[in-house]
Amino acid sequence: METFHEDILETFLFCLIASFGIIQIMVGRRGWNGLSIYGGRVRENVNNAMGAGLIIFAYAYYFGDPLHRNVRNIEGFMSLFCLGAGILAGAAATLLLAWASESLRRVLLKRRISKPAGAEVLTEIIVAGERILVSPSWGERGTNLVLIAESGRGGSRIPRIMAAAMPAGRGMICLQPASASLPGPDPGDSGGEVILETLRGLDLLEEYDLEGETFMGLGWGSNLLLRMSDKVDSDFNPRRIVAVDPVVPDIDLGLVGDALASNPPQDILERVVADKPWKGSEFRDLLKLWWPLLLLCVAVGTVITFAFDVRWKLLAGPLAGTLISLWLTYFTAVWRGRGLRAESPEAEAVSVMSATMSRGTVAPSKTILTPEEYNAAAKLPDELKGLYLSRSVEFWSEALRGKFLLRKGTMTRLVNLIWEDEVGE
Amino acid sequence: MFTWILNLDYTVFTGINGLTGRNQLADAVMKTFCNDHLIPFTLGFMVIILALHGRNRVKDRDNLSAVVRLLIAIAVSTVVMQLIVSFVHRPRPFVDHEVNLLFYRPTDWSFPSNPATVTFTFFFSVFLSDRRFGLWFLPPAVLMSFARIYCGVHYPGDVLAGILLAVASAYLVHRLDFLSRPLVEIINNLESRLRSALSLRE
Repeated sequence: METFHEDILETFLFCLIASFGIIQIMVGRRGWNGLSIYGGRVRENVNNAMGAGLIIFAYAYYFGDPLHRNVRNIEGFMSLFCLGAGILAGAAATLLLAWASESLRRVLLKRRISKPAGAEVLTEIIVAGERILVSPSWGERGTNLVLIAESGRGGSRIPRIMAAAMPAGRGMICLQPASASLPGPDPGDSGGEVILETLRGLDLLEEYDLEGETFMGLGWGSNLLLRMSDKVDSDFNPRRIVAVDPVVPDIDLGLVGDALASNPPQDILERVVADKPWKGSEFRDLLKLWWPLLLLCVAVGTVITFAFDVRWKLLAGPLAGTLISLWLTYFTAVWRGRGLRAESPEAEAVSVMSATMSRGTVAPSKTILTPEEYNAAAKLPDELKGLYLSRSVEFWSEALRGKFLLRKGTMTRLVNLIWEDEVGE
Repeated sequence: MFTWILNLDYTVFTGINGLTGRNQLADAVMKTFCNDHLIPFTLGFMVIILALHGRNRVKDRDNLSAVVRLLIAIAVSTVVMQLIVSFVHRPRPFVDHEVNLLFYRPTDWSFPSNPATVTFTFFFSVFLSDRRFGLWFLPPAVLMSFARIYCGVHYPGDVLAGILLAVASAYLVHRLDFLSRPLVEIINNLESRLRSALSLRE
């Protein structure tokens, strides 16, 4: 019996190590920097060597044991279970290590910044119900920065670091819209109006005159800025509009990029959680439909496995029941006209983005694109391409969206870029 | 007719199993491929490559659909195989005949061959989704099935039945799209949510 349990563990470990090795090779081949387990960029050669080593070790470890060579040991179903569990564990190990290495890199980055962390530089005020970060000083007209960052805790780190790196005598305000990510199906509900109202509210306060200042968007914030660029232009007559790495959709394929290309697991999770997909009425309807079917199917599946004396009753029955319940839920929902949407939220967002992008008629003075977005921008239709590519575009081939400050000097380069033409003015 | 088929099956079996003992290297290779775990696990790991080897997200979605269809096809072929086993009780070759056995003595019934069913379901299912990639699944399936006859644990008829069952299951699952559609849609939805979760942050 002990040998049996030990054998299950060994089989599981074999599957875990081999799967982890294969995933490492595939991560390197696909260039998924977000899943790099050693921080920074993923290196294909390193991943190939590591993956091949792990696979060879796993096979040598498992089949080196005479117990696993043509001797009766664990049965087929348990082998299958070990295989599935091992593959899932290999994927989980990749995610956890990528998470840990990226967290470590960010902690080290925080220490590397010489000035005090931005938390001491920027303070928080509330205007028109919106949370805004402001620097203590506000410079002369044309020397300040109005930043539209991405929502969430992680979205405020770059503005804080930027504030710390800014030259003396400049002011900065940073707005974080509640949902500067995939726009909703209603083009009017893009968050732009709320931001404009807040900016107008700020403008009314005597200490913040936004007219003639530099307006900059970061990531999804750039998309928001581009969508309302005509209104920003008419209301505030900005000195420049700078779009840093706006999300450029691939309209042909109906996709908005690939988060794995640079975003580590914690950022992806934070973004998904922020969207709260489980709070949508569609999801709740499906859940209401699913759980009674799940209970019924699991019970029936378990009874059948006991009645026919199927092996691994308490595993096989519930598993089969769960799968059948999903299948039944799907078709019941379709029959009731409440199935999954024909279009994914992403495809819907792409169509909204392509429709709303052209609404901002004022192209930015400067657009910074990372490699992830550059190819998509080149494929845009001409009328939309104008928004990103008609004027000054900088292609930062070394920058990554999800690890933006990975390369030393990126922040200095960004800060210099904002005020680069000031000398001539 | 039935007896003639059984005799033919036994004749082919003795022809293949009679090859044992002539070359030690060949015996060692066949014993390796006959292993219960080596090829099934390797095919399982190849499924990870199948899921991740696409060049873009559209191809990734096709590959994930292929993986879902493969898993359903394996479930279908395994269930049908278990049903057949509960009705057809064919003893292993070494029970009724003098054979050169290079393997331990399995205690379950011989017909249809479990390894042939599973490995060929891998091959046919992936092949129907992605012909080029699917061909990588053929050599392991052929080698394992042949090795089972060579080592004396299956008749050729068992393997042939397994292959037919695998073809039928894979074809059925691919033709009857509604069998896999719910899981494919759930997985595509998840893929879309996770991989569109872009952010510019530190």
